[in-house]
Amino acid sequence: MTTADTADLSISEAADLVRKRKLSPIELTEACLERIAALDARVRAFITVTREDALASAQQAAAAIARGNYKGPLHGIPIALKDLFDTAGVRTTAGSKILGERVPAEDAEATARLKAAGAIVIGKLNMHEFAFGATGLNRHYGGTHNPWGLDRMSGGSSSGSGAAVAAGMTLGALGTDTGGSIRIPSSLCGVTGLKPTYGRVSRRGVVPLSWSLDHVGPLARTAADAALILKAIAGRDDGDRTSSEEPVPDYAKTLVDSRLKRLRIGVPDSFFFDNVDAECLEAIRAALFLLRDMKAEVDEVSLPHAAEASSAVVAIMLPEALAYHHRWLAERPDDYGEDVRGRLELAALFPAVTYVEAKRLRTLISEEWRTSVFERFDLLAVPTTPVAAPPLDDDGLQTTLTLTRFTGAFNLTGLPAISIPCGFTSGGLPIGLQLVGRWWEEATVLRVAHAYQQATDWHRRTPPL
Amino acid sequence: MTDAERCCILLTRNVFGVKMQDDPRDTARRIAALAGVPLAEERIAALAPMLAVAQGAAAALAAVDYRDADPEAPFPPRPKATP
Repeated sequence: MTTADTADLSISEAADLVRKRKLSPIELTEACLERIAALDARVRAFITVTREDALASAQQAAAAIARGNYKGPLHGIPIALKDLFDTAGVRTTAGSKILGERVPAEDAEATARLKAAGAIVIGKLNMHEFAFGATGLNRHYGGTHNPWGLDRMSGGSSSGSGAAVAAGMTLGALGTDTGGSIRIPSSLCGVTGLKPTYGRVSRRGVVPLSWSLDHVGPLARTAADAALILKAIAGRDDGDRTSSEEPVPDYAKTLVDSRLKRLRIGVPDSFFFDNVDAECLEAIRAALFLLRDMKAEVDEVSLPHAAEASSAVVAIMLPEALAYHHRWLAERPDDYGEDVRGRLELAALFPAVTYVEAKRLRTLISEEWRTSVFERFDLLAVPTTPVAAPPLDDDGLQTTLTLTRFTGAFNLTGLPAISIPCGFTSGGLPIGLQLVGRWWEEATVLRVAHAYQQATDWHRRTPPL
Repeated sequence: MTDAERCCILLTRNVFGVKMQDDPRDTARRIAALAGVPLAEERIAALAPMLAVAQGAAAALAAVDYRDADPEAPFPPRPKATP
């Protein structure tokens, strides 16, 4: 196997080789580091590459496995973190100048859980400044380029996470998702990204954007890989009062059942299919036909208040972001990128009554969808984004609003949602399908995504870098 | 809801509703200052056209019939108990 082949393995494939001692964690880590060295000047997926720490961890993993102390499928697997996950002793910038020299003393809970599972942290990934935007452009560290077209944006805010996985610089990544920030770069970069149920993964040690909407989740090449990462990071953490005590299933085991018979998939009859690019629409429809061919029952569904959900996301996200940034905005306004500064100033214009109404809408939608939608359907299927990757310089508020149009509702409701590749435009840019499950039923979302990926090869394609 | 919360909501609804009808720059300046974000004139000039975004969200959310929806209801919903 060449170095290039090694870097393109999925986690499941690599883990199998590592477990059988046919592939060393050192070899695997070096392959990713070589890929980073070769490509990242063009892609800008990383803010910090922790080369020495990663190689030291890989050596420790190799030694432990040689002694027979194999921890499981993430042992010896290189994983990279969006640069808002605290890493003890390693700079954590949140993509900002304001936190540009910050070195946390402790790991974030998700970081610690990955390390405990044996994963090798190979670096900190580029992102939209403070996660406050969906384009992934960043004044301080440079915008992340899409591996499928370097003149295109990767999407954000977990821009480096999507681009690094797509380019084979890492086998998996962690991201955060407040209005679509895991699923959007996954869609635009042609990888698999899961936003779990609100509260499924601890956010302790993660720089916040909006406490009511922030979620932590994995980006990887396949749904099976996302399942492995989620299993490692999910579960109650007493340090995050929003984290849940719901039991965490062994997601990988639930993937075995690929039968979709009697699975009911709802396709919204409005809003989520309005103003969608024709090529994206064609790919989504083809994916729905395939799921029907796989014996799923696909039918139209009406989603009450779906359109208002986007307004509610904005009305919650902006004031909460301003509350977090209030002091810095007063004392260091010039240290923000113009886009983020403008959004924080815009946040000041939102009335308190609108914030409370947005919270009421979350309660209203959650109850209505629980009864009128999820008693009839197991999943929803919608486009992840209405367009493929926009040009890199298309960085206005309107672009962020367009990219988040179909993702924000699931941050408001906290429902688990995955984006998986389902086609390409004629220009060679990836298109994403979003599958949304009931609260706490990530296993169903992952199972259907995995079944779809067993029947297609969109997720196996690699960008022409 | 506490009296302080009611007061805050009434105050901002009043400022938002009345001043929106006036000069957008003046409106933006006053509301931002109320939120503790004093801005220089060039920032106000850039921000004023964005009032429409806040207005749009406020109008969309004001039009919803919330019935008895509680903003602090337990979230997310718990799974159904298995019989």
